[in-house]
Amino acid sequence: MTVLAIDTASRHRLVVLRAGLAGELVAARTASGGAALPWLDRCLVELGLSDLGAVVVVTGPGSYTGLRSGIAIGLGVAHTLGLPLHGVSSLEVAARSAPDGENETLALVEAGRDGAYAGRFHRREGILEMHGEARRVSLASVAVGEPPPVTLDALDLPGVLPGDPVRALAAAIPAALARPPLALAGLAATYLD
Amino acid sequence: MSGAELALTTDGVSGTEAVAARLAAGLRPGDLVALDGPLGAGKTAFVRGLAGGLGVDPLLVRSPTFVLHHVYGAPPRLHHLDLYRLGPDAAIRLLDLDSLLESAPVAVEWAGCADLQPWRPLRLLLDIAGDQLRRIGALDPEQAPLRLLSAWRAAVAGG
Repeated sequence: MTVLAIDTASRHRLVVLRAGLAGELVAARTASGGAALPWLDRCLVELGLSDLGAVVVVTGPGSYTGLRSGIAIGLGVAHTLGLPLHGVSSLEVAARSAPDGENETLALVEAGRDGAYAGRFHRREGILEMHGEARRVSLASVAVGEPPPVTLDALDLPGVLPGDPVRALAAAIPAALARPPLALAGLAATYLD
Repeated sequence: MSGAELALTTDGVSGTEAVAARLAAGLRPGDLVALDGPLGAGKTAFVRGLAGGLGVDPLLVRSPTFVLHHVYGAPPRLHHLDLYRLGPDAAIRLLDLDSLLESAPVAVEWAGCADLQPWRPLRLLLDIAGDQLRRIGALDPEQAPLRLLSAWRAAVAGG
């Protein structure tokens, strides 16, 4: 049984993949931007929808149009096939790209206009948790310290660790599946001004 | 008109379209032109001029009062927004300005309904100065990017 995971939170980075329930990658497609809907349409044909057990969508913060496209497609697939739809935040996905052994991570997601969405995470006994609230910050105000912040985007900020968007999304699957499906928890995207 | 700088007076619709067409010559994707002024001041005529200057058939230009957003050209050459129906404190987020600005310049009517300052617009105020006369000037021009302001300066001087 596999999971379909969709990340369209960024205007410059689209990811859709299939992975096992524990996050082991089966196949993935990526694109560096453009219209998410027709691209996803093609990718779903290529990746196939057989043997799916759940759908995971990234719920933001991120691009307004991108999130709506990705969540709509995820909801469509889940509803049609009678599968649970689970959500994961774009910041948590980014935080999953932190090096093993780092227990404190600042995750950054590109927000346009020289800004980023920022979330501080810590890992305790293997469980990743955000502390405090996600917020929009200007890139100029981010203090790059140790450990360096992680991102999946091409941020104009020296000293930030670039992560692998495919591996990070796959790695976010087990925790996403452990949370209640969005149908029960409330289907909503996160946008930050 | 109070507070507006870098202004000129046009002799009506065709004059307003002409100054907008001159501004269009300096517009690039990422440029935001925020238009305000009373009904009949020429906001839509101004956008028609921008469209013509950007190679779009000006007859396509209508106020997107009810649908909020018109896109002219494919790929887009100009996005046309109207915040009138959104009212004060318009939820500008739902128009996804960042995405629109990546593909083309954006012109916004009734721009005062939202805080567009984070996108550094060229703010233009249009006013009725007489039966046909229209006064068009920049508000807080120092807030706009220099290149966009230069384009407006050239449009004013070119008349």
